[in-house]
Amino acid sequence: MILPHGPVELPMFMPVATQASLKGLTPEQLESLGCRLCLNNTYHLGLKPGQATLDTIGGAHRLQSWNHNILTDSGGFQMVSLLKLAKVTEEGVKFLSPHDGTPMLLTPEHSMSLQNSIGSDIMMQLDDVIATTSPDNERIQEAMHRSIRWLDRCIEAHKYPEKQNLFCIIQGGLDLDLRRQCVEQMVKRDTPGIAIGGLSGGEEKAKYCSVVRTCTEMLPDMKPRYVMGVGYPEDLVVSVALGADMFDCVWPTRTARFGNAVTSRGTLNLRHASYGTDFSPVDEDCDCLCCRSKEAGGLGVTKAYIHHLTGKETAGAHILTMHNVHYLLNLMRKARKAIIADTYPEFVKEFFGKIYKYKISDYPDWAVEALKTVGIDLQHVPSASECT
Amino acid sequence: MNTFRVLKTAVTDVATGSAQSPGARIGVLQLSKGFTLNTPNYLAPTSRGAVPHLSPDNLEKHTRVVGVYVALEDFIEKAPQRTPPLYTYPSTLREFISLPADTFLLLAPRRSPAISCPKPNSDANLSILTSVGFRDLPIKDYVSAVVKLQPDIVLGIADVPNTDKPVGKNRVRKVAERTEKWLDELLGRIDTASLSFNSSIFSSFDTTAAEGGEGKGGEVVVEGGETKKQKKEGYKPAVFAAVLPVDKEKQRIYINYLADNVEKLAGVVFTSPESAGEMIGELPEELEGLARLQADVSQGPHEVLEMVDLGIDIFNLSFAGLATDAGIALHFTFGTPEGEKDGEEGGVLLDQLDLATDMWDEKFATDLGPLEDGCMCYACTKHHKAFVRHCLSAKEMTAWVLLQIHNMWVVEKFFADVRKSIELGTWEAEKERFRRRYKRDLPDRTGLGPRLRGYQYKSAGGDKKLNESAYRSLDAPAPEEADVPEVDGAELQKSGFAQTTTEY
Ligand SMILES: [Zn+2]
Ligand SMILES: [Zn+2]
Repeated sequence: MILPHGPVELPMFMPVATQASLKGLTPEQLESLGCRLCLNNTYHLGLKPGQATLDTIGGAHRLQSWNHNILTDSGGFQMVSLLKLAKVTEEGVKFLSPHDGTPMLLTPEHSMSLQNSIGSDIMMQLDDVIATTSPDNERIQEAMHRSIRWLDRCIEAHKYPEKQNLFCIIQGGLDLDLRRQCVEQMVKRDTPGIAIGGLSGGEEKAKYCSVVRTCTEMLPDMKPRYVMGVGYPEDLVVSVALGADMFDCVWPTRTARFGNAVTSRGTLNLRHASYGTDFSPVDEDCDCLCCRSKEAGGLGVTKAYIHHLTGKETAGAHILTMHNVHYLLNLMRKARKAIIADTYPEFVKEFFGKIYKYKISDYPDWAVEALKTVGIDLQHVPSASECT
Repeated sequence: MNTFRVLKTAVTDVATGSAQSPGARIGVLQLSKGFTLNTPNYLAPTSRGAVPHLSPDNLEKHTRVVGVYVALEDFIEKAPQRTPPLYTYPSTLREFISLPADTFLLLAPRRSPAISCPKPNSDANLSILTSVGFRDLPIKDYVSAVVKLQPDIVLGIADVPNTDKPVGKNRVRKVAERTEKWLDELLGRIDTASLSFNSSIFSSFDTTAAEGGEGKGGEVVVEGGETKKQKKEGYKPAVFAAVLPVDKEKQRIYINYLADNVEKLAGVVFTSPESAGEMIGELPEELEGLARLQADVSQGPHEVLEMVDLGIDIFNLSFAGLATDAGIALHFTFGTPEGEKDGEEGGVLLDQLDLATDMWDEKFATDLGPLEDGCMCYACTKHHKAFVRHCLSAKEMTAWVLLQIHNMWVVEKFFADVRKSIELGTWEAEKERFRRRYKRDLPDRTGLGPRLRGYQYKSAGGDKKLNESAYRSLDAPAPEEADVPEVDGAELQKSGFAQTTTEY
């Protein structure tokens, strides 16, 4: 995918630098991990440093001295999820200022204007976000149609279509028909990329997979598909198989502070006492700066040292954040290689095998079923003859 | 071999032709693993083995920190009841904390300044504070740890009062006796162990590598094809003996002991700022050639210069880190800039300069200039005030990372300039110029620091409850994740984020 601040390779994971900084890492460190597209949150940048400051400075790239790509959300999701009092009307999202209770209104036009000031390479439309778990079908339907109308308003209000890419967001809850209608309508608007929204909640994984599959089946081949708010390694690997290209999630970076290491053998909580005397690297299969030995030019950090620092010195979180981000970026790089080499099924099998120690009965059902729909059979054990 | 050599003193007693009187001096400390420290210079204090805010890659790439000050109390948790992980680690302490290869490690029993303990030291134990509370550190454990952990410099344990209570008259004599006994134990053990450390002794070091120009003040000296690995075989920790903060008469016997054992020592350490002033001129001639370390420097550059003038060579510098935590960027320069004449410019007397700037100030919100004009550090060459100020105000940890990188850089340059002035003979004039040119105190802290952690929390809170956990949990929702804007509607409107509306 070619973006204003350089090309990026798909599929990809995008780390979230909420307030223009990624959990204590310098932009240089993030760059050294191979990240070429990260997220900033419009809601947060709109508050700090604010639009006027962003305009004076010349946008978010300049603010954080980041010469690669930035994607921003619309700000609406944070509004709805963080402020319990938000109310959605045709005009926009209404909410009470959390500080002084002043009634406020966020419209698609506001969102576009702010994202134009931020200067993000990919901007997201303001959508009407409803939890997929909502029992109110009518409301879900309304939200889907409203999101289409708001997309039109966003396209209209977007000042720099030639230098910033506006992505639409497909809504429709878990109702596959609604999703299909939404895809049909939005594809007509011909945005440079398409996001599948509303899925980071507590929906059943099987339903999540069928929504992703339903959408990707209908989407044009040559446009990037972005599944918003998804970041667990297993979700990524399965979603790639279902045809998705881009993912973002705060979890891998946020969880580092609590000593959680995302590894090829699952997530390890390094605060556990047993890691106090574990002098092996955070992930033996990892070749990130932290996990590589000193002889190999790395830092040679051990689980024990992270255990020693976690919760007490932020440098420990910085190191683990670097590892976790590297792990997810690299997982997607490996997925890309496997797809190009036509070996994605093998890649998926090895990935699940390592996490579950090849105990097929432990594999999550939703993943097994979802992968079957695209012809990957996790339960199929190759016979001896096939191995050779 | 660990050696310290005084290269030049600023004040030489003309009458005797010797460097008897205390005074600023430049020297070079060479450590057995091949590290070289040009003095005067500084050490960076650590917390649990990390220079606060800096991951090891940032420490290596973006600072010129030559040596770090590490406290054993940061690693031993429930010892001696439970063996600390570090003692079962198959390598040295420097490996455990992923210390960059060209940075040396000083091991002390406690941090400096140390938190007071409720219980006084005993004959066999030092009172300490670990992450699980107040504990006893048996002296013999410290001595064994030194052999196991292989620091480049080790401090002798001083029986300084660990509690806030003043030292009683009867205690004072004991303080010196214990300190001597404890040091004797350490020296004896190192002597025995050195047989296993050393299969051969190396003595020839390149003493011409004094000022490293652009390089770190203390690059690893590798000469004539001799590799660093070979030098390791000549390893022996450099021992710095404590000079006690008590009257010289009360520690006369102990000081004599130091003089008798001077060949086993590489330096002396002053545990309080006052004791350096009182004792440095009272040390016997035999100890003149030892490096002098000041373990607690928290006030600022004026304090450093006064102590350089007393003859202190190495500073465990806490004020740079304190400034970082406060969101303050240091910017002072030792040495007269071109065109400036002693605080005057074109005959006009200049106002005293600030030593530092509080980066929380809103006026920096759109300032795209570096933290300090002309600074070549990573923070200043790649980022700007507006970003640092934004990260501070958003409580993003990157703010403190960038400030720490910058502040370390300023301090590094300051010491390099001090060394240069002593070498060039301009020390007296430049010291005087600095004294007059800069304000005495660092700016007051206005913003919030990073969330307080462990030791910092303890020292700020001053809570002395016995065995209370010294580390506050970081699990509580952090400010950056509370995610609720602290601005009112008018501000939201101004920010362009949304407009006020009449109906709701
Ligand atoms: Zn790693
Ligand atoms: Zn700087």
